[in-house]
Amino acid sequence: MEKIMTRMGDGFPVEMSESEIRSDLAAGTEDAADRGKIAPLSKEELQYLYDLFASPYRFVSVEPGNEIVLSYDGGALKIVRAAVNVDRVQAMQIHEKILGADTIELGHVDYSFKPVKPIVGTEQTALEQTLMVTHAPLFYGAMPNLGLYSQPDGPHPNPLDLLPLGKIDEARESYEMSVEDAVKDIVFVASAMYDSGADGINMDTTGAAGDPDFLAGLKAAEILKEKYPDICIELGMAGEFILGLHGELDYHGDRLAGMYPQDQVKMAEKAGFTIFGPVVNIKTSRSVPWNLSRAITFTKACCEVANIPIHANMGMGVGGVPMTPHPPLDIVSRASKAMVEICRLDGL
Amino acid sequence: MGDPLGMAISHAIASGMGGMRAAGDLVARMQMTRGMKIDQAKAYVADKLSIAVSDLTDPVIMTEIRQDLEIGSMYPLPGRFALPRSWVLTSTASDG
Repeated sequence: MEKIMTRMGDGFPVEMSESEIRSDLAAGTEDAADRGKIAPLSKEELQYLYDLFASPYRFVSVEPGNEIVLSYDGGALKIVRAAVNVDRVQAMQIHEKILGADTIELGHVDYSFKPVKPIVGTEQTALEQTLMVTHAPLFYGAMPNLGLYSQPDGPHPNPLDLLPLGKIDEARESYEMSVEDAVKDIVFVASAMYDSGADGINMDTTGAAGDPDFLAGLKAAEILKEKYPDICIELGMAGEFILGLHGELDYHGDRLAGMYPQDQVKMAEKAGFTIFGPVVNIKTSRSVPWNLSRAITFTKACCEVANIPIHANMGMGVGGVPMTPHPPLDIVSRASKAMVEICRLDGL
Repeated sequence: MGDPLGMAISHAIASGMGGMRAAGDLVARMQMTRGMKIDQAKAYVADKLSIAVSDLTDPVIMTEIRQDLEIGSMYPLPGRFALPRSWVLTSTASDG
């Protein structure tokens, strides 16, 4: 039987038979449906995915009319990290004029709100310089990154040191104090950048430190929305599942630990976010057909209940894109097309 | 991480609206400022520009529209936005 070339979740090429691909597509959607208590993909959607993987073309695209807009996390930094000798303002121009970017995003190299606070004036200057030479909507992006608020990087006792000692109440108290500090930093930095002319704030990789991290993002957005009713805030998540590192935190009565994207987006709406970016992580030991089917199942469920635009995260290692610094075009294009067309996305 | 060719460029070509080559930035603005979903945002921008939704991703049509309406272009338009000559002459005269 003819083999089809596809890839594993770490990007390595692999040849699979038709039955193996169909089996992985079915298993991927079932895994998401079981974990998220959501509907699996239909037979027609699985057939669409099979045809996509069986397609002989090196690069595929959405059909005309199905195009969406793109937003970025750490966009400018990816050029700087590649050791191309341009500064961030020039990187924004490259995104706008050369990479076909619909939006652009400025961020500090540390990409977290806390370290930006003492240098916010420098960031405002960079943002204002960028606005002078670009047209596209400009986000300022950073992460809540709650890990920076516990020792040795921050003021509060490290919960991950306290938990093994059985000091659960102390660990929870530390998380709660970290949330309050993070909210102040996010509001301070986001306000400064918005006052300087940012078209939007991108709160990225939210939930990386579990439910306290997610709560900090929600509380900060609520304050910002009250302060600036017209502000655009995009919420990008860190993973498909909110880890219960505290375990008992809630947002207006809804327990955050254990939430999947279709629940997370409702919290985002309640907090006042303008755009929501769900994340579904890659399992590197499984095939891309398995991963993409699983990612689309979660994302589709999120899109179906959302009242705000959805920009699914499809960077390296999420959304069906392999975990490799050089994502292969054959898989990125297939993942991009399938995610947009099955989920009816508003953006990526 | 993720190199620009593998990530930003691949998605832009596979699914993107083309940014300022077309009307991607304008549609994005409607999502950001009004919270519009993609179909609503496209319809709104197309209506404002008096073009078909399918024209929004056409770089040839959109380049002409952008230049006519002066809403940003990919390349500089030398001399297009220079001060009117009468302003310059008036300024020179007053200096003298």
